Amino acid sequence: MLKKRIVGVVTVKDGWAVQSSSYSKYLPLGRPELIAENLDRWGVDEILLQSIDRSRSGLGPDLDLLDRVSKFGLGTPLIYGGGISTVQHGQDVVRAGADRVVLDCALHSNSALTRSLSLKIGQQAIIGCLPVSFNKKRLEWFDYVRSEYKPLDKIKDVIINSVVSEWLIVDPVNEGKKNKFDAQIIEPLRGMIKNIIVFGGISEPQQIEDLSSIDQVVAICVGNFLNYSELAVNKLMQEVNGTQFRDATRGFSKGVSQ
Amino acid sequence: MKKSVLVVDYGFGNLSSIIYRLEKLGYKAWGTSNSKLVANADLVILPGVGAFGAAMDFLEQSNFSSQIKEHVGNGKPLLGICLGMQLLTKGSLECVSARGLGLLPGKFVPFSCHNAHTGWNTVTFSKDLDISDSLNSCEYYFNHSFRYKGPDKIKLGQVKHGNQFAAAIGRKKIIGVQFHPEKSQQDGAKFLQNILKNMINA
Repeated sequence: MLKKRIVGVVTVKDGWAVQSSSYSKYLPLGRPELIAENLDRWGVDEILLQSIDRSRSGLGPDLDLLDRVSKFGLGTPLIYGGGISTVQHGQDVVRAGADRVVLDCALHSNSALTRSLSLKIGQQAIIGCLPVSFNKKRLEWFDYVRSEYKPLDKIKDVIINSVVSEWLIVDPVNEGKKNKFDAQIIEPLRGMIKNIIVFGGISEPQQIEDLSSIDQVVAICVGNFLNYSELAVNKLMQEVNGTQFRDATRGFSKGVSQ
Repeated sequence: MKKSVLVVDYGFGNLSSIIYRLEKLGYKAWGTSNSKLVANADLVILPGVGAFGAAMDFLEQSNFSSQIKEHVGNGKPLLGICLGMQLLTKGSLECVSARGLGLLPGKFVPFSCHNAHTGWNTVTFSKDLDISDSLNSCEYYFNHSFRYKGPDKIKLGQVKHGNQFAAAIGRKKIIGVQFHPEKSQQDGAKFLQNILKNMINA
């Protein structure tokens, strides 16, 4: 049986891993490569490096960061998002060490990008990202480069025209806030998307159980809350009931006393 | 003396994880785009990043195709990982204009009810793949959009995602695995250790 995944998220700003709250307040955590190395050792199912300042500042993807992380020879699949706006960027990111790429801002301006990129790195390596939230009871898509919200119809067009394997649905309002993910943001999208990854304010075993009971949810991202203790992934998963996930004792931490 | 493992560098993937793992297992491993170096290798690995058409274009233009065929013709082992497994066969519907290496029968077709098989899944290996029982029914990391369609007799491992399909194929010293052992943490490392030892020493 294909297991649902727990994705460890490392949020990077100005080259440093940060603890983020609603993508507006930040506390430094340290070197991203060391946090990625911990997540690898503990056995998260995938690691997502998100460089949140690259698109807004037009810097392109952070290839130096990927180079530093890949030098550790991670035994865990690595996803990278941030600053990818061309096919060459996507190829460079994979070349620098990512197994999969996340496209977010580029989807607003270049809907054909996923199709051309898939011919180079394969559809399975591409994840589309949709930061969404409710505004006056209507679900809207947030374009954080332009700081504007777009109506749901725009999302539908992008979903239909994109060649991606999964969609990362982000709750930007509740990101970084304990137990605050708004599961209602998934509802209008469930009929349109087969494979959903969720992120933003997910910290509790019960939340993970509830979200994983949704058929379309294939992976759950946890960010800040994995940085508070050694073997945090293993401890978190020990409290999650059900057989939809891998065992709590996993990764290179197998045999390590907990 | 350490056995040498050449990892083919198509030019668009990163080889650090597989090289790191091989070195940890005690092999002399290197990635290269120079097909002439195949002659120096005890084992060749076709790694698993990219799209079928682009990878085959590279193998043809760089002369890796003929070097690899000579390598296996000399009885030396070849391991394909994910995309690398697909390249071992006759082709893939991902790019109908590109032929595979044709070292194994069959081809790759898209999933009928999924657009990809991504994540950790349990693999059941056949006894024909001579590996430790402890590796059977372990979970390995998959990430692919196409599945194998070919004769049952070369299927060495099965996985279920909707329907059951091949997680490993091969014969003699040519083996392909659909999952990524280098990205499957401890169990993947043990699998690589076991399979490479068998392939090189057989």
